[in-house]
Amino acid sequence: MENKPFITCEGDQNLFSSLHGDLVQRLPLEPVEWRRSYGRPPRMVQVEANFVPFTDEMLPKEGDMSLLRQPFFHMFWTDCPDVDVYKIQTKDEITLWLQKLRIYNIQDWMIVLVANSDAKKNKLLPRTTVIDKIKSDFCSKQADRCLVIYDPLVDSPKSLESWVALVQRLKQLLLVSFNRNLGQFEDNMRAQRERRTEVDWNFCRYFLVQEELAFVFEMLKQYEDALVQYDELDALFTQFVLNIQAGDIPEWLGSFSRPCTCWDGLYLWQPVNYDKRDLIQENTATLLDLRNYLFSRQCALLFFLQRPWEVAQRTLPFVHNVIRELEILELTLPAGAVACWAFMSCLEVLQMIERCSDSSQVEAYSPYTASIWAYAREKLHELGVMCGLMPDMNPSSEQLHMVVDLLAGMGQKQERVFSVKFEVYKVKSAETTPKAESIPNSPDKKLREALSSKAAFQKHYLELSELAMGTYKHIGRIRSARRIGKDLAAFYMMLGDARKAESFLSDALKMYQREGWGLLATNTCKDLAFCQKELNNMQKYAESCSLLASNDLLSPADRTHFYNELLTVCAKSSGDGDSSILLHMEPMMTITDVCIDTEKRHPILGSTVHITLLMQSSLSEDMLFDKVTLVLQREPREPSVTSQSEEKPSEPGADKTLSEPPRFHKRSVSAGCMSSLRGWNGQAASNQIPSYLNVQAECQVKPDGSLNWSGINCPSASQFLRRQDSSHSLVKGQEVVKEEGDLNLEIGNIRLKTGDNKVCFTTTVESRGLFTVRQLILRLSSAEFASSRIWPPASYEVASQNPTITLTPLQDLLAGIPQQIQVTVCTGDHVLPQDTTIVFSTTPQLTLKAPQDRHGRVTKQDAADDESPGDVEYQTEDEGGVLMLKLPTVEAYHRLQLTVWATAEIPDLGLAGEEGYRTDVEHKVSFKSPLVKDEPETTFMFHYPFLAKNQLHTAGDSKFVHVEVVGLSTAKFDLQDPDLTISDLQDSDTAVRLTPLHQDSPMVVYRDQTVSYLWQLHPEELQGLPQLSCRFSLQYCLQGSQQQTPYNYSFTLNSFKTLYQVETSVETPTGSEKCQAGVLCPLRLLITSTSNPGDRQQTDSVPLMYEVMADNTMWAVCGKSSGVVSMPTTAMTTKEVLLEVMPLIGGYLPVPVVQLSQYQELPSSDNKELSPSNVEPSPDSDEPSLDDLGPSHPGQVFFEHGQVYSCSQAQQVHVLPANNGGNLVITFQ
Amino acid sequence: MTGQRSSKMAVCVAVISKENYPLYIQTIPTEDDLKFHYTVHTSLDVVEEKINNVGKTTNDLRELYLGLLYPTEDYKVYGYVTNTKIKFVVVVESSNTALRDNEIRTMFRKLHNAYTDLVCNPFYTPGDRITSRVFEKVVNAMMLQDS
Repeated sequence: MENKPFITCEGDQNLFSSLHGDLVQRLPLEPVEWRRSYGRPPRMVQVEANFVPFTDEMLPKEGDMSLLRQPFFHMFWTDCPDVDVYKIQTKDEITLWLQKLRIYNIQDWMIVLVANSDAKKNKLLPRTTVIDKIKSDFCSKQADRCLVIYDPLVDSPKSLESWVALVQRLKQLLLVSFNRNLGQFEDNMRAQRERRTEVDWNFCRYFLVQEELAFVFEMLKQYEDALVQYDELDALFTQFVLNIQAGDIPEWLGSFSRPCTCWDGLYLWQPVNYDKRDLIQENTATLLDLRNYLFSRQCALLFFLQRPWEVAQRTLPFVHNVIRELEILELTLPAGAVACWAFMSCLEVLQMIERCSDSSQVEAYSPYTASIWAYAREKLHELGVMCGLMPDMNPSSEQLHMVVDLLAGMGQKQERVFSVKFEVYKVKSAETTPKAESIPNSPDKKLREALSSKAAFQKHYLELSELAMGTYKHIGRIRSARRIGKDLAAFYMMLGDARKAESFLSDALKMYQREGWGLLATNTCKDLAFCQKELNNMQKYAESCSLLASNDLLSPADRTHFYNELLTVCAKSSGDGDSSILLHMEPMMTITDVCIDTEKRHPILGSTVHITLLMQSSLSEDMLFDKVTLVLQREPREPSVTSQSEEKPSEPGADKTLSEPPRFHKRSVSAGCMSSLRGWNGQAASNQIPSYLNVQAECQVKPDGSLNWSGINCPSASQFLRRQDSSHSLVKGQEVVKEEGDLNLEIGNIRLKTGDNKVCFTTTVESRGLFTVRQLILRLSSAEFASSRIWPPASYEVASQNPTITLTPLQDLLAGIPQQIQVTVCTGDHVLPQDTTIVFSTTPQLTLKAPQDRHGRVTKQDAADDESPGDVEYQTEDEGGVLMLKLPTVEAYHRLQLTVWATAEIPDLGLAGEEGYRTDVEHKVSFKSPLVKDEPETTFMFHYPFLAKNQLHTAGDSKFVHVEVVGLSTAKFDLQDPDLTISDLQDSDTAVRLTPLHQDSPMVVYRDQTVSYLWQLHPEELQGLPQLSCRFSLQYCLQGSQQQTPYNYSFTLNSFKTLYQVETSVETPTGSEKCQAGVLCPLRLLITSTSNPGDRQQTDSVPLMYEVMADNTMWAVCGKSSGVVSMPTTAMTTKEVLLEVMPLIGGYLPVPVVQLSQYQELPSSDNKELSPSNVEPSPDSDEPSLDDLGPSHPGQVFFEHGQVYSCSQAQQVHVLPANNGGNLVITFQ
Repeated sequence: MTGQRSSKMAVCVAVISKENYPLYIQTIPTEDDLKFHYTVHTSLDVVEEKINNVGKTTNDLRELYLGLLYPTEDYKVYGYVTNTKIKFVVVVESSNTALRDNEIRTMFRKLHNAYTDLVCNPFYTPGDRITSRVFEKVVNAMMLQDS
């Protein structure tokens, strides 16, 4: 039935019926704005109407406030062609009609005149047409109540225009009527509601009244407003029921307290369930009837509003509320009836939602439907248990009766067909895929089926569970899904399908463990354990048992049960002869601390190490383990050279980080932290930073040895600082891993008590390296409990030291005499075998010799100095100057010290060409030994004890050789047998005599002490000898020692013969007896050639250049200070040069020195005397030396030392002080 | 009307850490703790959903009170999230109609204050299970019979 407002039509029925179709069609075409009273927002409405002939019965009776049945509007149709007909007939009709209306106080009417457009042309006078007449007669005040429509069946502009006007007018007037009527209705309704506390008030009656309003709104397609009416009714009823709790029971509620015999579910397939409505009307509705009807109406309106999610949203609160109301009203329903109702209602809603929405709305309603699915599943489960349909039950006859009763209460089977109305829901939805063909099983059909047999129940239950789980997963409510999974697991367990159950349970367990919900995890684990036992998965079962037995959330009885189970499983699996089962040790046993106790800081080979583990047993009872194995890993370490070198900074320039033994920074110490690693008892493990961080000290050293930077580093920082993703990083299954151990320490038969235990391991160090405690394995029968990697790592390092050989001088080494060098052999952790050899090789001129006694001192390597050393003997071999030591057996970590004598020869420095400035000599010693890898080299510096220097002296023709021995060492040396030989003169006839002028007694030399020896050469024997090679030798010995050692020093004398003698003399000026300062004196220069011409060039004369080297503080050379003389080559010729000098001060002044040098004329220059302006005396050359003073003039060549003899050397001249020339006037008075 | 009201204020109060592990769960009666553990744990789904949805739409300070998380036949579960993502969950009986939104809000406010006091205690490490007696007292007061 369709609700449309009624409009009655009076007048010419034939006329109207010809126009009826047009009018009905045109009316709803355009929506019109509906302005409403009470400040409600205006709405656009499409007006539709149901036109019916006017009858008296249609008119409302007194007091009947019904809206739906009464007409809202009344029309009078006439086609009265002229005024005459009007006057005769139509006027009366209208009058009669209006009179009837007035009786009922109806103001919503309208008169329509259907006119022929031609008739209008006859109109000559005003107010003479029919319409004018009608207006003047009836509508004098309301001109809009009368309308003309021209040629309604003709398609002309005029006709169209009049149609539009008519429809427009009709709509407006209709809405005015609505407003009026609704206003009246609402007032009435409100008045009724106000009377709700009165005794004779009835909710059902009121319900129908307000529902009528809702119908009107629905009729006007104002679903929102319609929904409000129902919501108000809902709230009103709810409040009434709630008030019952407070003892306020109105009489009408008694009808709802009738026992329900029918528990039909919701019925949403029709917008209005008239069956139920009738019940309400008859006041025979039960609570369920009323609630079902009310909610179905709300749902219908929500579907009209395209809000299926709201239906879903309201469903569960609705169901819960109804159940609560049933309780409050203390309605007695058969057991399970409510569940049936709830189940069917939920399914009905779900089916409807699925049917009445498109895919775009799935997202919107899924969050709600998921819970509805879950709830329906719960209800079905409830029914299953109640009716004995669970897999582990067999329905009793009582339960079968119950099923029959429940089925009976499901009442009438409603026809599931798509009502026409229902299609309305779909029309507006974007996708109109009619699913009418595939009507699913109706909820009650499903329920009937499910309750009919165990198999059917199982099928439906599983289907429902999967749907609920799937929807939960789809919307991301994993926890809810897991919980259903857990229930499902229980169901599968009943079915005997432990495998399926296991997967559900382990999923749930993982989640509870990960999120740290101990109680839930324990509970799930318990279920899982049963499941695993069922599956005969002993490995997993034992694992679960160990977890449960050590779980303090479990009751003591349960713990003991699982403890015993664990023992049984372990014992049983050993009987099978299978490979042992490997289990986690934690959290059954946890290692709280590891102590390593060694004798020393670094244990050495052969020493004993005690490792103590502090363990905590979480079991409620003691457990006896067959064997406890501690697994240690060995990390080979580069053997360090000495224990000291470890502390040395890294090599300069090495850009390496010092890897110190890792130190661990403790964040917090709590006994429970270990167990939390597996996320069992406490906090979720995945997000946690472990209690211990591995932090290393690092530093970098610059090439020059200074520190570049230092700091601490956590190598695994990235692991902990990694961004934690939200929920999706599932904890990976932690496999038990048995670590590869290099050293296993074992203890048999150990009982671990509840609580703290101490387990000690003792071992003797047998190999070197860094030993780290990695894992503990407890063995019980054939089961092994392996700990996770022990953290923080506890380790000990077996110090490893290679033997070393070092050479150290015992004092400052002196060349020439035997010196002691100490050889130190540190054995490290090696034992020196007998006859370990050390072969020394040296640079030439260094000899090593073993001492006479061949005893070495043996001490412990780390012994204090005052410890008395042991004494060992060793062997030596000396082959061709190569010393080889054969060492005796020496224990590890001992030091063997012995000395060898090293003698470095003093080389003949003169021969070596090194002019005695070096005072020391470098020698290298390298040794080869099986103890050390390559041939290390040690450098020693030997200092010379003394040095010899030579000098040539000249006196006229005579020559003297002077050798000076300079002491360098603080040690005193005796010098004997000095001798000088001319080595290059073999022939005895040309022998050169050397007459020693020194004493022949032994001399002593030491630091800063010199010894001089002097020999005279005879000039006559030197004729024709260009040079002399001399060799000085003496015997020396260290004072106190008897050993005489020869010392040699070779040197060569060149151009040593005297060629010229120079004699200078300052003569007194003429006329005075003495020279006087400031007075010019003649300087006489006599140059005498002393040598034979045969020695000279084959020229008559040679140019010689002279230069006066006078101290310019004493002498001023006047005129020229230098010049060139031509010297005849014949022997004993003399040249005289006169110069003038002036003494500047008085006293005994040294005679100015004149330096003679050869002069070679330059090819370009003339053979003339150098003018004084050209030859400047060098101002500072008062003591010219041939060695360091280069020629100051071109062509000047200096003579060798000894070729020119200055006769007047060291002569002085007496100079009187200057006469200042002033007369001293003495006046006497 | 008030004379007959004998229902409890809350039957379960839970404090849940940022990482979703329970810091504190108190239930009445205590025998039902497993059931309430499940209820509270499941409610975290909705809590997370609500937190995430809020984050998407508004930038300003979100409301800490999350409202009714989900109803069950017997209980209503309410949620509250502090700014440090500590979750409070309160379960009340559905039959207790005296508890309106406002009362629930007050409960959460009290709970939040108690939690703040707890965190201010230097001897409490955030993230540890709550054993404070003061806190327990506050919770117990919420779960007491409303007289």
